[in-house]
Amino acid sequence: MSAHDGSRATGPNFAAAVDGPNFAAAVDGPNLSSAVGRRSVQTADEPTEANIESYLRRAFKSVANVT
Amino acid sequence: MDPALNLVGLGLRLGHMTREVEAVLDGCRHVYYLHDEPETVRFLAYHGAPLTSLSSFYATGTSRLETYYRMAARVVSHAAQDPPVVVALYGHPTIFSTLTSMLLAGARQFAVTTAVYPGISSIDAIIAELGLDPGPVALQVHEATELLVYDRALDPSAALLIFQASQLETRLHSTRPSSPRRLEQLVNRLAATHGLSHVVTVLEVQGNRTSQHWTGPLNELAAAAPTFGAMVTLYVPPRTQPLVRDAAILEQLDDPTKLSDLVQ
Repeated sequence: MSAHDGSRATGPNFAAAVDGPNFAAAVDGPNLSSAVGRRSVQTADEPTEANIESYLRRAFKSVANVT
Repeated sequence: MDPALNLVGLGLRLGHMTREVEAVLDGCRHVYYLHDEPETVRFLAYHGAPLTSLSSFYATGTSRLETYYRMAARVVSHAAQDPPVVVALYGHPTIFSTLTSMLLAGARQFAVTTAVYPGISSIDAIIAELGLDPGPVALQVHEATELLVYDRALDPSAALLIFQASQLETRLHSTRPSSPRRLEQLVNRLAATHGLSHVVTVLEVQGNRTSQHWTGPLNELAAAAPTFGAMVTLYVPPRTQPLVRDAAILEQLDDPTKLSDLVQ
C-alpha cells in the first residue's frame, strides 16, 4: 500500500463540512470537496504566491469567522 | 499519482501521531507545520524533509485572515512547483481550520492535487475528558464568533461545545488575557436558551493536558474570562427537560418485521 492510499477525505462527512452555508456563500465556484484528491485545471494563471493570494482574497472576502 | 499537497493531522501530542501520517511524512519533499509541542517538532525533523514553521507568519495586531492568505499562498505555490509538500497541523486538519479551507480552495483553483489525513482533534480530547457520548444526548458544535455573527439556532436539550470562546469578536491576533467584556454577548445569547443559572464548564486543551479549567453558572462566566487561556472551549450541558418521544418509531426498534422491511 502506498503512503497515500486509503484515507483521502472524499467522503460525505468532509463534503458536508466544507459545503456548509458559510463557505458555500464565501467561496466562489463549486464546492471545496471537489478539490480533494482530484486534479482539474481551473485557471490559466501561474501558481505564483501573488496569484494564489489574490485568488484567496477574492474567494474568502465574505468569511466572517476565522479558526 | 500521489497528491502534491498533503494535509495531515498531528493530533494534540506526539502519542497521537498515526502510522499513516508518518508514511506521508516519509514520502514528502518539504513540511510546513503548526504545532507547539517540542517533541512533535523534533519528530517531524527526524523524518528528514526540510521543515518550515508557519507560526512565523503570525504578528500581534494582524488579522488572522490576512495571515492565512499569506500562509496558504506560500504553501500552494510551493506544492505546485516542487511536490509533494506536507502541511502538518495541530489536531485534525479540517476541524476549525480556516487555513485548511484556504489551502484546499487555492489548490483546486490552481490544479494542485490534494489529500487530507485525519488526526485526533480537540473535539476528541474534550469529549473524552467529559466522558461525553454524543449518541444519547446529541452534540452541537459551534465556533464562538460565528455563533453570534449568524445568530445560530441552539437546541437546549442537546449538549453544546463552543470553540474559541476566548477569541470572540475579533480576528486580530493577541496573546493578552481577555477582559470580562469578551464574553458578555455570548453569555446573553446563552441566557436566552439556557438561563443564567445554568452551570457550564470551560475546558483548556494544551499539548498533553486537557483540563476542566472552570465550572460555574452562566452569570459568573464573563467575570472569569481573564483567567482563560487562548484556546478554551465552553461546554454547555443539556438543560434538563422532558423530550418528546415518537412512540411509533420506538415501538418498531425491536420489531423483526420492521427489520425485514429495511434490509434486502
